Amino acid sequence: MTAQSLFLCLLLLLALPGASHAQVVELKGGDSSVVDAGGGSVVLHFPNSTETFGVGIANGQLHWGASSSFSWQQWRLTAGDDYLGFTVGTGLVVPLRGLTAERKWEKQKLTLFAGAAGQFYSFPFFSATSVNHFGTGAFYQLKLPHGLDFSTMGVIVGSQHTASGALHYVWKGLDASGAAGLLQSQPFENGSISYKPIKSLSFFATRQTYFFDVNQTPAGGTGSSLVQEQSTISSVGGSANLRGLSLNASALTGTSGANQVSGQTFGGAIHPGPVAITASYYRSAYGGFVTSSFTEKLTRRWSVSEFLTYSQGRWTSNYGGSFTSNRLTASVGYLTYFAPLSSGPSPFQQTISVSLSWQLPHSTTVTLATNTLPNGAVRWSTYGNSYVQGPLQATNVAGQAHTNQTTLTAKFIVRGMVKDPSGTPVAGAAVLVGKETAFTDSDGTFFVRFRKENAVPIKVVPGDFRAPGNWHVISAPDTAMPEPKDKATVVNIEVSQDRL
Amino acid sequence: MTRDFVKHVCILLLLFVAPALHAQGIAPIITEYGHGKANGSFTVTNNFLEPVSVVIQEFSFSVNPDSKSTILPLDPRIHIELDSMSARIGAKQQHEFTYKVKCDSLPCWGTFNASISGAHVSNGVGLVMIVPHTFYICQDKQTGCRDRIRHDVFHLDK
Repeated sequence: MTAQSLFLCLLLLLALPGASHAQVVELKGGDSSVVDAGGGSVVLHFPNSTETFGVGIANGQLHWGASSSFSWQQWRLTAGDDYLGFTVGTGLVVPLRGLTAERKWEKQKLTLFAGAAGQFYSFPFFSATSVNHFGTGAFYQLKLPHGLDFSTMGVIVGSQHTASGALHYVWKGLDASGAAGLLQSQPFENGSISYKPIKSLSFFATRQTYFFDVNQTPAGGTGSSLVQEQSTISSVGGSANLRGLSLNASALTGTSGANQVSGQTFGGAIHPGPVAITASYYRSAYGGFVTSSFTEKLTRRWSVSEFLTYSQGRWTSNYGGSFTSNRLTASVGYLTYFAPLSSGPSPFQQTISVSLSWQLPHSTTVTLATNTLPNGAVRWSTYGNSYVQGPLQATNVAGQAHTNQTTLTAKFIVRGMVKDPSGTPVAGAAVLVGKETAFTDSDGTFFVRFRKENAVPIKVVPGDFRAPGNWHVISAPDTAMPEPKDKATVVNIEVSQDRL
Repeated sequence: MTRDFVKHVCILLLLFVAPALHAQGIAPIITEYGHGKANGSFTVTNNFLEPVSVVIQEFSFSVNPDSKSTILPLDPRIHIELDSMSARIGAKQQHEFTYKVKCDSLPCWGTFNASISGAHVSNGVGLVMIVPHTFYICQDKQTGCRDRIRHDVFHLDK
């Protein structure tokens, strides 16, 4: 048995008895075609600590991750998987496995690490680390006066060094950030600046370096080797809003190895009433093309879109739309990306964008979304997560009830009032009306809307009252009839609080 | 030479930043409406690890020249219709409340206070977090409605 397997077994043995005592158990699972990954994880939230266990398959190999995070004196300690990273938008992190200690002061933060470092697999449904070499590192952040934020990081792993510094400055309409240094012994410079002199005018400039691990197979040869490739994307542009008309323009350049590509974009948008119309022109050394979109908001929840593209003398069209409700949110659209690593002739790639999120009862959410890779390829991810309340948490019938989707167009209503024996309104009383839990406001009143005029059961749930104390029901009807909202009679409920 | 992009730390993080981002509390905090009517919504997000209950209550408010605001009972000339006045929101989930507002006189303004609380407690103190969604309705155009009310009604600088 390897040292890693032994470590995993020990952590799992520690986790199993803990799961039955956790305050909240967070369960995640999913699948992604980004790197052919699938897996799941369990997060145990205790009052004073958080335990995380994840396992999955990425690129055909089994990976796992585990960590325990807890407080010790003034420090926040993490044993297991963690990472060091800049909070400034550089996307720079170094994955770690070992012991991480973090301490915060009013304007400073210090993180120390000892253990091993390597590769990081981070998905919404599981995180894993594949370590290669022993190492040590530190991260320090200092908030300076005048909106200046300074941070620096140093990590030594085997023969590779990561040493970088970052600055973030915010002043009036100016927001500037930059980071530079060595990432795994390779130099990089990232930065962005945006300036908004007036509300309707803004400018930006960015430069971002990306590192990729690439499988290379020699032509005519067998086998493959993993090499790291670097790409840098720089952009500059601006936007303006003129009496409902918004205009934007940008210029982009990107390098991938010895290749350099560039492009320019010009666009505009108007929003006459419920319609949004956009048009953009994308230009590169390989020619130009025009995209246009027409989006109409049909109702509060529904909108439809048509996407037109004019390229090489012909028009093509695609259709999309969106639906938004409290249970389900879904959208289909088309976006154009600058992808210097694209395998196609143009660096601009138009890709489909799909997202679907479903809120289920019992704090469960299922999500499906597309991800666009730096080479313009589209991948899919689908995952779900759920929260299970442990024995330390109060649970009850109303707590498990899920909010129905009611709308203002629902014509019928059940109104009610909750009072105590002295006639004083009770705020925060919980009443299960049909399948929906209603809570009373400070006037002791509640209402629930219905589409149909059918009798619904009523149940007072003292164990779910927002008001502290032990409550019991004195009188309440068993059912109520939804009535037209202008003529609804009030359902009267009487409850009493037990005296201590 | 064939290439197969397999994995990268930073890019993977960036790819999943958008789905992971959730506004905390209530959004939007302030909304402006024009042409004398409001047909809008706000979303309450539960970023806690346990279900919470939310109760919505409408209020009027005034602001004195020192920018201190005072919460008042809802002006009877403001007529509000909410799709629901309370909700149970699961852990890390969100709920959208939709509303219509009509005012007998314009401009008008008000606030929806969303009081968020956790599980019932038999003993001790129940904590409630209140987050507001404020609306401003003008007779004329929507843009700058809040600034015009602050300047013309509350006599505050824009």
